[in-house]
Order: sequence, then C-alpha cells, then structure tokens
Amino acid sequence: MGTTVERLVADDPDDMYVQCARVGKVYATGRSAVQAIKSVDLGVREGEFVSLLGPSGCGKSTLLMIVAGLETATLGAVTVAGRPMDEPRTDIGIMFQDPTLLPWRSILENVLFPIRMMRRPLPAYRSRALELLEEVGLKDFAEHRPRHLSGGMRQRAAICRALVHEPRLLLMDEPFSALDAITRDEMNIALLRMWEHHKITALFVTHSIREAVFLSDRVLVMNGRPSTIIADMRIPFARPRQFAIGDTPEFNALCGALRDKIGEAYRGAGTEVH
Amino acid sequence: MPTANAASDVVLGTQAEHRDVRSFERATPYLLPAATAICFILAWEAFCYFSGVHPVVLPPPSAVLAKFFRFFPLIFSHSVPTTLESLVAFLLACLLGCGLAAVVVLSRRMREALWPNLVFFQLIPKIALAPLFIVWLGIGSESRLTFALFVTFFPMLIATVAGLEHVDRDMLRLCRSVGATRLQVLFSVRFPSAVPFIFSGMKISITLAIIGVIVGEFITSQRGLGYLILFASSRQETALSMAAIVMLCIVGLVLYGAVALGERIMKKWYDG
Repeated sequence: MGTTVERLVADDPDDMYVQCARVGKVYATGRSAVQAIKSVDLGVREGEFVSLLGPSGCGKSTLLMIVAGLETATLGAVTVAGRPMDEPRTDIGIMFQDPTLLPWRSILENVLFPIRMMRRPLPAYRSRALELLEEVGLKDFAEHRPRHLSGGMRQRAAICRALVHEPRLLLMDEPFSALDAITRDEMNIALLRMWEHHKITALFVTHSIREAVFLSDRVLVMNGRPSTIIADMRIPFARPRQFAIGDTPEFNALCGALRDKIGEAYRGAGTEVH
Repeated sequence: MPTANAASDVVLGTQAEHRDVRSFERATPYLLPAATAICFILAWEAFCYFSGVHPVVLPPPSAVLAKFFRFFPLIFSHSVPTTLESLVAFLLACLLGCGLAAVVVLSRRMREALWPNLVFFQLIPKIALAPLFIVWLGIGSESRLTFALFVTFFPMLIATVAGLEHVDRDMLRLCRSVGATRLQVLFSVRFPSAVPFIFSGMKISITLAIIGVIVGEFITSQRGLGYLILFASSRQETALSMAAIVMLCIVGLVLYGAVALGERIMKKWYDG
C-alpha cells in the first residue's frame, strides 16, 4: 500500500486539536485492578475525521469517554483545543450507540435538550435546531415523538442534538452499530455531509472496518490487553466521498491491511472483528 | 364464472366466521369474569336457600343487596370519611415516597444513611404500631392517617427509586456532558422517565391506603365503613356488615379506577 502511511506516534503535537499523551486507565474493582488502557498517544487535527477501530472490549469507548471528560484517566493527560480536559465541556457534542431520546418530548424538544440543560435561551436556538433537522431530512418530524420514527431517523435526530450547541468536536461511540446494514450506509453518508457542512472535528469509535475506512481521514487501530494504539493508517480517498468507493480495490486493500493489523495483535485470541 | 363466485363465497363466508370468532375472543376478558362471579353468587344464594344456614352466619346475597339499598344513605355517609381518609393517606404516601426516593437517588450519603433503616422499618408489622399511634396521636383521624400512611408509603418509595434509577446510562452521560445539574437531571429526566414506575407504585399504594384506613377505623373510629362493619357484626347484623363491604368494594374500585385512569392519561403524554 504505497498510498497509506503508518505511524505509531502522531506528528507535531502542537498542531493537534485533540491530544492524548500517554493516557492510561485502571479500574479498581474490589481488591483487584483491571488495566483497561495501557498507554495511548493520539492526536486529531482540527477538522479531521478520525476513527478508533478495535474489537469489543478493547477500551476504545473508555478512551472516548476520557476525551469527553466523562471518565478520568488514571495516567497521562488529554487536551482539547489546547485546554486540559478534566471535566465535561460544552464545546463537545456526543453520540452514543442508542439515540437516547426522551420519549415524552418531541424530536425538536429532544434536539434542544442540551440547550435547556445549559440554561441557554431556547428561542435563540430554535431555528438552528430546525435547520439541523432539515439537513438530515427530519424537518417534517420536528413535532413527532421519537416512538413514531425509525431507528435510523432517531439516530439522525441524535446527530442534530449533538450539534445543536455548536460544538467544535463531535465524539461518537459506535453510533450506528445497532442499525441494520442498509440504514447504516445511509447514516454514514448523512454523517459525512453534516461533518463537511459544519466543519467540525470528529472522533468516531467503531468495530466495523469498512465503516472506519469509508468515513475517516485516519484510522487508529486499538487492540491488546491492556490496549494501546497499534496502527495509524491514513485513508487517501477524496472528499466528498461517494458510496461507490466501497467497491474499489483500493478500499478493499485498505480494509484488508487493517484486518491484518488487528489480527497480528490478536492472533489466536478468538476475537471477532467484522 | 359460477365456480369462481362459489369459491369467493366460501372465502367470504369464512372471513365472516373469522370476524365472529374475533369479536367473541375480544369479549371473553369481560364475559368470563362476570359469568364466574354470577355463578358464584347464584351458588351462594342456592346454598343459603337449601342448606338452611342461619342468616347471621351467612346471609344470602339477595338479603345483602336488600340491606344495601335500604340502608344506602347510612352506608354512603359512612363511606365518605373512609374515602377521604384513604385519598389523603394515599396522597401523603405519594409525596413522602417520591420525596424520600429523590433524596435517596440524589445523594449517596443519604442513601447509605437511610436505606437500610427504611427497609428495617418496613419489616415491622405496621399493625403492631397502631396502639402506639393512638397513644401519641389520640383516636382522631390523625392517628388513622399516620397509620395508613406508614402502611402505604413503602411500595411508593420502592417503585419511585426503581423508576428514578432506571434512566439509561448514556442519557446520564449526555446530561453530564452538557453540564446539567443533579436537580436538572432529577426533574427533566429522572422523574419523567419514572412515571410508569410511579404509577405501578400508586396502584399498590391506593389499595393499601384503603386497607390502612379500614384497619385504623376498626381500632379507633366512630365513623367510616370500617366502623360500620364492626358495629353491624357486633349487633349480629351480618347482612348490613356485608352491605358495607359491598360499598367498600365500590370505593376501592373507584379509587383504583381513578389511579388507572391517571396512568392512562400519563401514558398518552409519555408515549405521544
């Protein structure tokens, strides 16, 4: 693969919007301690789309929660936009595997939920929320309850909710892994469109190799117990990306190379990656 | 095409039959319990008629019904304080249950301090405390209400705590990430999502409230259905006693029905 560059250490640290320096996490459970993350160095440039790829239980979600300020690292430090990240900050938007919408609120109210929690004026953000909903094709559903929407539509509403307070960094924890394959493809396109339009930095956790390659500028592979980042692969496809690139030999070669990377670290350990 | 017509007739015929079966199926949840109750009452009536059992021991349903209508004003007047006190005890239990649940869920320290004691307290048979309430609060409605409240609030507390803690972990993470305070989370997320749980607790509590008030009336009262039941049976007026129990069933149904109706309305709000 001549077009991909592999590095284990991010280049110039000052350049990075998200910077993890020797981040480690140990869970104390009773008398024993479990080391979830050994030591992770990673950097994400401003405006970059980076995926954290790895099998279930490799600590990639934990790392994401540390970057979000929702978990504390037991080792090392995280900075976002040059400031240390030690508690939740409102310049970050989050998406989870489930849309976690409030069933008793309309879609619009759900999208405005972060604004309400931040005690910012709701009317000022109403038009932005409606614009976001229009971008993902949910404008006509603004007054509907989540129950009336499909899984993919709910997750699109969750994208809007994550972006409503104009965050600069979007963190996503396997946001589409509960969706069917067809919906998932649609969601990937929708997400990329939002990311390009709003010019945000994105850190995306997934265990799907194809999804990581399709979405990202760079894919970081996490693996091992305790885990570290074992590969850093640049994805060279032009933007905006078309879904057809998934059928090209280059795409499949990249997927194969990533699969090999994961396999190298986990040979014989019986870990499934798809 | 006679054959085709015949075939479609057969099909239509079966569809019509299907429809009949379906409407019967739909009615059985109402028909069967009603039929069972009627059979039971008829058997009771027949037993009294043929066995010659003394009406003080077991009056026939017809006699109970006759008493019910003859003494309706009396029975109704006694049902008013019972209903009101049950309702007040229930509402106090809701407030106390939800309040304590909020405290326990908001603060880990408070939970550690309170929870084992609450469970321990629940293990005391409340009826054993009734004489103490009379010593402390007298024989008025305060002591009955306090007694009924203690009987009633625990299921409310358990259900509400379960509901408040049922919130999705990622939802709580989202709240923290946007800087929501614990009180904001409590009122904007936890309580609304606990609504179905709270109603389950309420359904148990409303029936317990009536039990609590009736037992309280057995012990102290000069009024109320509990008093009337005790009074009538002490005068060997078993039919009147049973007529009062019929009224009690009606009161119970109305109160439970009100809570169930509230649940339906809230469910509509919840699900949209």
